[in-house]
Amino acid sequence: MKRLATLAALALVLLVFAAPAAAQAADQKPPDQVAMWIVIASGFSMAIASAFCGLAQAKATAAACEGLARNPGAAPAIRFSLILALVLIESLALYTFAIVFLKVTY
Amino acid sequence: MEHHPTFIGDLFNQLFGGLALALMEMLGIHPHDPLRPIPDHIAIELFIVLLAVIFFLWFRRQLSADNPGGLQLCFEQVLSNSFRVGIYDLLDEIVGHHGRKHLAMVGSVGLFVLFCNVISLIPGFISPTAVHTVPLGCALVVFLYYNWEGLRAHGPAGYGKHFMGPILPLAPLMLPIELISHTARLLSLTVRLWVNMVVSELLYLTFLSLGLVTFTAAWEWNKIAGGVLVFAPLVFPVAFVALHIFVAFLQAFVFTLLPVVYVGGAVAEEH
Repeated sequence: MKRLATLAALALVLLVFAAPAAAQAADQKPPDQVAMWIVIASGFSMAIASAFCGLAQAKATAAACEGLARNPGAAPAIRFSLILALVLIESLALYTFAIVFLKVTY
Repeated sequence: MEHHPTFIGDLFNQLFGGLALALMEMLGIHPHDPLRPIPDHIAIELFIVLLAVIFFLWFRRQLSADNPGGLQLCFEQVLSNSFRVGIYDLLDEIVGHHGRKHLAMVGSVGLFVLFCNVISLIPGFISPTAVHTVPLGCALVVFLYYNWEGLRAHGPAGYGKHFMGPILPLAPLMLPIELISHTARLLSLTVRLWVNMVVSELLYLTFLSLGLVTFTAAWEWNKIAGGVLVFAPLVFPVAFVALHIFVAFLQAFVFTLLPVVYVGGAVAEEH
């Protein structure tokens, strides 16, 4: 019970300090020359990220399909690992997108 | 993202605005707009919680083993189905022994995320999960829960060994890696859900505006071509609403699967 209270207090402190920290970054604008390069770099980084994540996901899916064709009995286990792997690979592209989104909109 | 004020947001601000303002002043937080201290996504989130609690309290009284209704059969499919992707199936498969006791936590987070994702299909609502603080809150709850369960299952020393790697000489190398990978779970859970929701809204907006631009350009050039292309802004965005529904369910499933995997890793006996 005491540890639970400590955890709750910790979470509360984290939440209280998280809000002002997030609010500070919003009102800085880069100069126009820099903003142009941010947009160009964003496009390229997103393209590279999607390309390689696409390759990785294709490889994972191909391997899973092969495994399923050889051994349909193992379907649930393969499906779990496939979804898990796809999600983890996909999140790499999403990190790139998050950076692009934050950099271009601010 | 900027949104128009929603009806639920107005309602919550009228009812609880003063209370929220007083509470925030007490904690030393100053809201951006003192007239609307409760942001729309928080209001809709609270609305979903309220609705879900009322719905499930009502639903609980309808449950019967002899004469299950259609809704009960639907929700039994959420728990366990023939594709082995229900919540009980996940818990049995990944956590294993005593796994089903984590249902309350994992299931409520999963259903909350699902409701938050799909509520933007109703006009006048926005997805709370498209604002980064809401997925962060869900991820924090999951993070605290699986570490707490790990501590409870193994004790502080036993759970600490999970971070040390397989053999003791490797511990100085493994400890920082494990700590970073555990805190990165917080980041990855948050960003995955948030960005997926933002992207499906952006895709809809982008294809709506692309369709509108194509249509207006064609209409000015030639009335017949414009008449043909009048379907562009009507039909294309609908495909992305369908995509949004698919993504909403998939991300809710992922937000159920990953906590199960984390809990399974935290309470596992040996690895």
